[in-house]
Amino acid sequence: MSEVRITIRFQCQPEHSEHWQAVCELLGQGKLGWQLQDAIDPISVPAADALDEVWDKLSEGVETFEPGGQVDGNTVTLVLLTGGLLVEEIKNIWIPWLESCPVTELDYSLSCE
Amino acid sequence: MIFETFPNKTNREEQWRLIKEPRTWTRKELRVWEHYFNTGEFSGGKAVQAGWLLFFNPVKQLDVWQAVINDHFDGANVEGSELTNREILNSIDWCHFHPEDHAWIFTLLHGEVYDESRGFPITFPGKEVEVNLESLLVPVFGSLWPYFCGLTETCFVEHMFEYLESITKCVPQDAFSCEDSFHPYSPVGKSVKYAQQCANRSLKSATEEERKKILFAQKVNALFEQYRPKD
Repeated sequence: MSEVRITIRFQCQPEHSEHWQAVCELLGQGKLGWQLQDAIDPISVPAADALDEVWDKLSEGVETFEPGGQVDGNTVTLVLLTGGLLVEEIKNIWIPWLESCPVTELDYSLSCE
Repeated sequence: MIFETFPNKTNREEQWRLIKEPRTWTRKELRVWEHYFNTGEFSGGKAVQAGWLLFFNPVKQLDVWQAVINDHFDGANVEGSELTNREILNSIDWCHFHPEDHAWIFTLLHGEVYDESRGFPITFPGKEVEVNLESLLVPVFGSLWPYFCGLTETCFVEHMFEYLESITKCVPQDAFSCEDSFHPYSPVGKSVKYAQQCANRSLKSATEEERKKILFAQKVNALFEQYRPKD
């Protein structure tokens, strides 16, 4: 099964732009644990705490996708690369979690690698 | 024992910072392991990481470790390759102990001298940890050559020279010249090479640290000379 790229785009609050930049850097470094949660704290403490349970829900763990992202003004673009079998799981777990953060106009698209 | 009691020279606060930094634990997992590191109480139910259960514990005693393993080790879910003597000894490495503490822990597990009949002193439910010569070569000799060629700043084997002497006697002859990086004997071959190079450095303009390293390299080189095949 080929890899699938999930591209997620949303608008963040202006005061959170630099924090989402820090989040994107940690995602790119594969630091998906406490360091990521600490970086999300200034954006939303409940969302940061909720990541404890979000990762638990992934059947194959956090190594099942390669994350990355970038920030342009208030527009945040996250990209997750994962195997085709796990796309639905990532979508159903990661997207609702993002929606619990103070973001707007969230949209996503899928493409095959 | 090389030291009668656990030397306890590790700065535990700094140790935890170094352990935690590269880990991708969630905060929930971090709280569990940090609490265990500080108190010896494990609230995570079951864990597959034998090394963490042993070496994070603030108490360094075999009976305490055995009790923790009995209560909290998840033998049903650990992968086969994760519970070997070599992996357990590797996990001491990334606990960032002071080298004297590291040496003490090694000899607590494997004795002050190499003994091929000695098994692993902790039993794991449903799993056996086999101890053989090859499983000891990487942890022991793998600590020497990086120190001699400047990749690491300390070497715990410096504090258990009697063990090094005893295991060197048992090393197969062709290990001393092994240059194949993928071969289990390669840490021996590399240690021979870099001990010799380091031993030949001048003491004249050496700093205190370099002097200490050169003198140790000379001691190790002399030991290897007793047992390596002559050209």
